[in-house]
Amino acid sequence: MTIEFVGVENIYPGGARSVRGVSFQIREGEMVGLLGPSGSGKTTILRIIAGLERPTKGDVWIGGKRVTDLPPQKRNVGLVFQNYALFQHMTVYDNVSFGLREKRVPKDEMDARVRELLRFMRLESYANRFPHELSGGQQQRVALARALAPRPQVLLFDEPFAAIDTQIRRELRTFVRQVHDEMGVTSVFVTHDQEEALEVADRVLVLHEGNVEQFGTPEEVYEKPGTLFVASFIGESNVWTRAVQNGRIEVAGAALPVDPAVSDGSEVAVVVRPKDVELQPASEREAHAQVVRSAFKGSYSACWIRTKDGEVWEVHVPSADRHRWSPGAWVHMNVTRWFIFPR
Amino acid sequence: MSKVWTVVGTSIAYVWLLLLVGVPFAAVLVGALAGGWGPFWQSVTSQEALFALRMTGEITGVTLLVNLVLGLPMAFWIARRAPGWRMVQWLVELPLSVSPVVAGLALIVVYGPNAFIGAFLLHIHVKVAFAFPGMVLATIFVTLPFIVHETVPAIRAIGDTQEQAAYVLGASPWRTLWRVWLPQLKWSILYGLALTTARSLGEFGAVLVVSGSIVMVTETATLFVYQASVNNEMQAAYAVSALLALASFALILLLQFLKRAGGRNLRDH
Repeated sequence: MTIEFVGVENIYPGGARSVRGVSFQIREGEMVGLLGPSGSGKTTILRIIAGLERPTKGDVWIGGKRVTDLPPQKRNVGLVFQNYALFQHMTVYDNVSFGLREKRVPKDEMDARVRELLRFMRLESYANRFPHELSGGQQQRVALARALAPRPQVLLFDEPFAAIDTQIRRELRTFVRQVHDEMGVTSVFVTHDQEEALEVADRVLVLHEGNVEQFGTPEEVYEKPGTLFVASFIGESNVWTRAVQNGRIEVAGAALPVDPAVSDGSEVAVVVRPKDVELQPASEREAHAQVVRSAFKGSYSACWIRTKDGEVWEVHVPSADRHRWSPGAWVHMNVTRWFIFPR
Repeated sequence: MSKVWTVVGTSIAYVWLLLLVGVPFAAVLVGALAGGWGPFWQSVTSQEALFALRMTGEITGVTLLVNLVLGLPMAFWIARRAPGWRMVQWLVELPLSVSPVVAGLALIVVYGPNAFIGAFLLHIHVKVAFAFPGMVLATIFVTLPFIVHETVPAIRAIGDTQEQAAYVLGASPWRTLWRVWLPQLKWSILYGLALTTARSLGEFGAVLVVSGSIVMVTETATLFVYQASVNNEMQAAYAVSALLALASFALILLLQFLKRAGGRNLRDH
C-alpha cells in the first residue's frame, strides 16, 4: 500500500503548528523511518496516518484511496505504540486476538491466526500470561503480534525500541525488519535515533520543526545531505561559519571553492564529517592544529584537535593509528570532503 | 520510652474509638434486641418500617444508576482535562463542602411549588419537592462526588493509549468502553458505588428538608428512626437503626475487600 501526504498541516488547539504543509509519497512495501528531534512532527505524522489525529489542512491517501476523514477503525493499519499500550486486563492471547474479534473473524480462523503469530513471535508458551508478567522485549513482540493479527496493509511503529535495553534493541531491530519483509506490508516507524533509522529503513524522512528537510535513502541523507540541518543532524559533523572571499572559503589552511552564485562577503556554513579529515604529523610551526584529547571507540578513535584559530574539531582515525595522535601532538589537517550551505 | 508512649497512644486511640463508635453501636444492637427477636422482628416488619426501608432502597437504587451513568462521563471529562474540566470538578466536589440541609433547601427553592421551575413541573404533573423525585435529587446531590472521585485517578493511571490501540484495531468507542475501560475501572467503580450506597442509606438532612417526612409517603429509613425516637417509640427506632448499622458494617467489609482488589488492579498498570 502506498501512503501519500499532500500539503498536510496540523495545528494544535493552542495554535502551535506541529506539521507545516508536508508532502511525500511512500512506495508499496517500503520501510520508511521518520527521523527528527523532539517536536519535529514525526509522531504527529504517524498519528495522522493512523487516523488518531486529523490534519487541519491537506490530504492523506493510503493505497490510492483518500482517507483524510476516515476514522482509525476503517483504515486497516496496525500501530505499535511506544509504551506498547497492551490491554493490561487481558492475556497475551486475548490481546493478540482483540482486532480479529472486532472484525468478527470466525473462531477457528481467529485461533489459527493467533497461534501462528504467537509461534512467529516466539511467544507460544506465554499465551495465558498477562502483560505485567512479561519482559519489555516480550511485551513489544505481543504488541507487534496484536498489530499484525488483522493483516493490516500498513504497519506503524511509534519509537518502537525507545523503552528497551540496548542489547535487546539491536535484536529487535533485525526482527522488526524481518517481520516487515516477511509480511510484505508498508511500514513507517518514528525514531529520534539516527543509527536506528539508517540501519532499518529503506528510506528516511528527515523532519525539522514540522517541515520535511530531506527524503532519501540512508546513503543519500548521509552522503548527500540536502540542508544544513540534515548535514548536522545525521551523523557526526563539524559545522563552521565562514565568509566568502574571492569565491572561496578558508578551512584548515585550504581555500575551498564555493558556488559562484554566492556573492563575496556573504556567510556560509561548512560541514565536515569527522571521517573526512586526514591528519599528518607536523612541526609546531607548520601545523594547523594540536590534539587535545582522544577516545577509543572500537574500530575507530575520535580525536579532538584545536586549530590555531581556537576551533575544536572532531576527527576520526583508525584505532590502530591512535598512538600517533596522543594529546599534545601537532598535526596538519587535510579536509577531503565537505558540504557548504547558505547561512 | 518510645515503646511506652506507643502503648499509651494506642490505648487512648482504642478507648476513644470504643467510646465514640463501639459503645453507641453496641447500645443500638442491645436496644434493638432488648425484648428478644420477636419485638425486633415486629418492629422492622411493621407497615411503616417496611415502607421506609423500601423507600430507602428505591432511592439508593435510582441514585446508584444515575450516578453511574452521569458520574463516569464526568470522570472522563475531568481525567482528560477536557475544556471546562476545572469547573466540572469544582461543581462535583461542591456537595462535599455544602451542608446537606442547605442542599435540600436549595432544591426546595428551585423545585418547590412556588418556584418557577417547580411550578412548571407541577403544571406538567411532575411533583419534585415533597415527593420521590426530590428525595432522589437530594440523594444524588450529596453522593455525586463518590464515583467521580474514585474513577478519575484510575482513568489517569490507565492513560489513553490503550483506547487508541483499540480504535486502530477496529473497536468503536462503545466497544472500547465495554472491552477496555470498564474491565479496568471495575474496582474503582464498585468502590464508588459502595460509598454511594453507604451515603444514600444514611442520608438524613437533605432528604428531610426536601421530603417533608410524610409518614407512608416520603419517609425513608433514617427519617423513620428520627420520627420514632421523637415519638419515644425506642424499640422501633433501635430496630431499624440496627438494620441500617448492620448494612453499613457489611458495606465497610465490602469496601475493604474492594480497596485491596482495586489496589492490586492499579498496581498492575
